[in-house]
Amino acid sequence: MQRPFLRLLIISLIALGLGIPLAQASHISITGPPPQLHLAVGALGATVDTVTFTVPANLVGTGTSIAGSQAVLIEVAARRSAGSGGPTTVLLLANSSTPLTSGTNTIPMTEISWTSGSGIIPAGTFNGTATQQLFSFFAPNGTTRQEDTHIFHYANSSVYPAGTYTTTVTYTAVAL
Amino acid sequence: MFHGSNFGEFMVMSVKKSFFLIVTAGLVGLLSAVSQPALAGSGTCTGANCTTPGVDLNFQVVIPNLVRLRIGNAVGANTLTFTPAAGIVGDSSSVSGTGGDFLPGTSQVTVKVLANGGATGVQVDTDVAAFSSGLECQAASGSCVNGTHFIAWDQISVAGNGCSVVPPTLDNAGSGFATYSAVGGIVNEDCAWDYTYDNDTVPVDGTYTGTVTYTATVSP
Repeated sequence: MQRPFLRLLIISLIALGLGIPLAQASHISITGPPPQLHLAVGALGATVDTVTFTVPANLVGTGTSIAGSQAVLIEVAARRSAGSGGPTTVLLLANSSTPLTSGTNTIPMTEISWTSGSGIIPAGTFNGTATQQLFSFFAPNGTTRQEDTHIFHYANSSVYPAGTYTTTVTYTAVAL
Repeated sequence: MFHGSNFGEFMVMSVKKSFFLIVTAGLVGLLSAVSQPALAGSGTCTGANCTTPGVDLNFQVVIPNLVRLRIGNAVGANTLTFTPAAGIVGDSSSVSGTGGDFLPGTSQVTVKVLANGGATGVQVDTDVAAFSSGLECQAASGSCVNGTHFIAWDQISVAGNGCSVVPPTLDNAGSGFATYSAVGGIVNEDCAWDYTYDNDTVPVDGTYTGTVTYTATVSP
């Protein structure tokens, strides 16, 4: 029975010594976890994934579609709660405004399209703009996760100078 | 063997330990989520109306350096056949042929000249070395004698259909050629050549055959 009293006394003395006011709580407010939005594209690691299209010599510029080297998993997860944030709409955007480049030569990003594994993030073609909307979904309270696997294709519709062309597409998720 | 009280104590300690472990793991996880450097391929934002950091995905297209020449079928050689009617032999009325792949029933063949290695151009040459005296009479095909009777190559004319460059002419010396200049480091001719028999001479009757071989050479 004495030990709690002794502990309270010691705490009070320390608080007084430090000049900390001992407030008496009259109201307790508990809110949910802060709303959060998470986006993952490809494998998590130290380096950015690269999708490579290698055009065989006999198919250059023939219009035969060339599949990318790997499928890419895209995942968007939203956490909302009644206490903060609340339900919202989430957008997935892509910035493909930088064309594929090799020296002074370029290939427009409209040559790159993708098919969808599950149809959640639909098939499409990059339009070469900075804010292409790939899909949207409604995120109610709680955690909502949307994911899909994309397989990319190079249209191979024109003959381009020999070389290795590279670029980076940047994805972002936006909670409205 | 546990005694009653000891077992109870052990259970309490286990529960406390589990709780402690859960709390500790949760804190470690939270802290690591906050302090860990962002991994490539993911981004997180917090807030009611937030935008995640950009997540990059690299793309790479590898275009090989190539020179491609196609005259006629993609695989195998076309045989163009000209059959002048008896009434017009040697009267210089042009005779269309058959056997072309570009347009069925005609002697038009597909032509593709492609180079993407940054050269200044491509030259397409003709080679009739195996038939340098002209199209050769086939044995037992008529009155003509194999090895004796020929039709000169210049009796075959070639006209372009949708081409940017005039096709190489044919002659017994194999001197015809066509030069394609590169634009932006690329030569990409895609059209058709239409062959006709000029019918300017009266050969000994029979069937005459010959082969033209085309080659493409990149100009440095």
